[in-house]
Amino acid sequence: MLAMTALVIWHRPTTRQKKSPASPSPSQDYPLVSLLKPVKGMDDGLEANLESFYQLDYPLYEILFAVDDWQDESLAIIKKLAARYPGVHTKILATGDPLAENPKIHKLSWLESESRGRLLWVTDASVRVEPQTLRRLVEKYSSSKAKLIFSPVLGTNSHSLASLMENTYLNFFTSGNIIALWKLFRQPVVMGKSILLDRSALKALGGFKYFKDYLAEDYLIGKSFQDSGFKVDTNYIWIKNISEQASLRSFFKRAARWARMRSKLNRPAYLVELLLNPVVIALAAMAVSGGSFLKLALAVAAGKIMLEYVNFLAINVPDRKRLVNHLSFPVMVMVKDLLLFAVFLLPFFSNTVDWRGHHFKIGKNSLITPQTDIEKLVYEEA
Amino acid sequence: MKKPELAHVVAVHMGLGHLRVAYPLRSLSGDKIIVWGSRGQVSRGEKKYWRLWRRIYYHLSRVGSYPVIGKLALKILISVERIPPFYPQRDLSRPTVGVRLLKFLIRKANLARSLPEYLKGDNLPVINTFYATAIALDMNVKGQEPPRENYVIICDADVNRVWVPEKPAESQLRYLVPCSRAKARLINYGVKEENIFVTGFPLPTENIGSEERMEGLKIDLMARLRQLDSSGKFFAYYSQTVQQLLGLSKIPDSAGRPFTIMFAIGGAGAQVETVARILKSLNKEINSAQIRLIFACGVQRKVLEKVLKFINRQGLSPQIGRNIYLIYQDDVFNYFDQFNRWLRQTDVLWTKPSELSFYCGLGIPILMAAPIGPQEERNRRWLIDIHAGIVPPGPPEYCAEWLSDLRKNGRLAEAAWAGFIKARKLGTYKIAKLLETGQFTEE
Repeated sequence: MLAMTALVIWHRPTTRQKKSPASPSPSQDYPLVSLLKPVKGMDDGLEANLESFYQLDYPLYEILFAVDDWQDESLAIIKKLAARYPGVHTKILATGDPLAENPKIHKLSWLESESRGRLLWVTDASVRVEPQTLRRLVEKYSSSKAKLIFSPVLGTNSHSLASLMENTYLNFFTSGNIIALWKLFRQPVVMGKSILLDRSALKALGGFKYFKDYLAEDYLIGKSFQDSGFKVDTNYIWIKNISEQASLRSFFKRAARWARMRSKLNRPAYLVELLLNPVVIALAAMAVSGGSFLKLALAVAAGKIMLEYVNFLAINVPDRKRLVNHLSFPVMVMVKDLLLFAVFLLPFFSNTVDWRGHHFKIGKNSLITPQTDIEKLVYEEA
Repeated sequence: MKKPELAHVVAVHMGLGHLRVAYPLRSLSGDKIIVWGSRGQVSRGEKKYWRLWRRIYYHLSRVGSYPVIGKLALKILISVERIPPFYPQRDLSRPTVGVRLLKFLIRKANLARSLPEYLKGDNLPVINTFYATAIALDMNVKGQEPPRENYVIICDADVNRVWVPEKPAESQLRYLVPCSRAKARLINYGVKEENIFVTGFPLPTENIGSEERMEGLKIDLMARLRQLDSSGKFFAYYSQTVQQLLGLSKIPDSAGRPFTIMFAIGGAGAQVETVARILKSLNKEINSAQIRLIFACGVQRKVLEKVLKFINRQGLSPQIGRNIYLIYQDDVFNYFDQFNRWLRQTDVLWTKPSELSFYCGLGIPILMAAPIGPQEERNRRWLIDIHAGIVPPGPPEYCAEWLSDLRKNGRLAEAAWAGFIKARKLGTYKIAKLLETGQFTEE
């Protein structure tokens, strides 16, 4: 955990993101990039998130949105932004909602077929970026000859305790793992919040459709690229994920979904994750051995809180401006870790994942088996 | 419009072979192929059972390339699938251990026992592509009035005794066989001659054309022969015969595409390591568009990813979609569809002598990789006997050299022609006619 924290601080957004020149280099090749955005409903700060993609400092790009249907709440915002920035080519598709495949991949497959760029940049609706982000990603793509560039994620803009919890979890655990596993083992943990892909490499695998039966599509995209000999890389350009008003329920559900997927992707590694929750281990030891472990438990808890706090101070600049976040931090970490322990146990009892109205049973490598029984959909009188 | 159902087609997922046989027959069953052992048809227990067998099969198929364990596992596979020598001709009707084991599995472990129940809504004939479902049905058909016609397609040039029930003389199981050697073998196993139909292997009709004229096949073959005979040696001998049999007034000039080789990796991915060696040898030819390579990667993600890895290692990824094509689908029937399309543009099919050996009937020379198991040994022999198969004259890492020689000396063209002339091509049509009319005339 110490190493993880140190690596995250070393690659924190403030230092790394200033290394690239402020404007596009004339000698650099900047190919047309298609920004693919699957959207469903209203995410926190959606308008500002989407607007940040219209303000990119990049010569030529297009933005393609996919929604389930033309009644989606986000459409008004998308149309407003498209009208406000007529210089950026915008396309909106209503792709429907598939019953038995990964709904995000379903949208991405449609977007891929409608896009024109040599590069595809997949980002979530909850993501907000800096004007230079795309340029820096493309520069990395060109210099490294990688076919996939992934990014760590900065959870930020917390306005509730659950949001702070979710963002801290993203910054400490998720991005910590993304950076540490890449730095130490060259293992890409690709997160769907932001992936820059070479279209021809993706096409060689058969396009996004190749991943339609799997829920952990982002991780598997990275793994498939690497296993297929396509170079995968990162330049530690952090992507902001905006979570302002999350509830404990939504945090728990998201963490549970991710835990179930991780347990299906690599069970031994999943078991090792328990070591990243030493508070629970210390409390369990104290419960078993009585008071003799009290001091140790307190020391472990204090240590864990300190590490997460250092991480918070180092990378989450917007959130550290709010005093309430500092005051609630120790309690938040304790509650979060206890909740995450409960989450940790869930995959041992159930394989069912709920995701935006879908109920999936997942198997090895997060293979999807839809829970909806097709037979039950037959009209009674038929 | 869909044709009326003539039969149920029952396959199993035990490698691609038994599914590939079923695919051209889909029009007989209203486009519905029953893949026994898959979800929704069998009990959970039986599904697990089939999955276990599939895994064992896949591991045994792949394991041959491992050093010490591989050789041992291969010996086990060979002993299980052992086919006795053809000569001296003798009565081989006595059931083997495999036959008894299968009977035990059907009776006691309920292997495919629920199949008759699944099919009970009608009395249409059943065409099986795997012996276990055929024999399970045969055990059930006794006492049924009127008895359901029960067929099984033999997918190789010779077979193990396990394809025939314990008491063949009492069995009503009918055999659709690809070649006369398989018929002779079944007679040795005690199958009544009237229950054996030498139809030929069911080949995809989309690669043939009509039964009477075989237009598609002839057009493709002509283009292929032009590609294969780079020095004109083959045509020097055979141009008149080719013109006469393909119904041409003149031999056309060029095929208008690069020399195309399809390498079939196999359902279990057994041949995947050879890909690296082929790519290394053909790197220059691919980059200069002299050769086009198609890799048939099957339905396993791992296989496709490994092939891509080899392509990347050779720096050939820019050639994907230009001079390298990859056939991969996660749905096995979509895969066959794609495979058959590409086959029309293929000049040489490089494969282990599996059921694909019979595709030589389409006028495609078969370049034979090492066989796995006794039935593939027999297919290999059959291909050599009819001159449609070629044993690679050198290792894959030098294939650029020997492929060029085989083109120059006309041997590839000769093999393509021999396959077209000697192998049966109309299996799919003959099976359909047999079911429709009950009539069959052996050629």
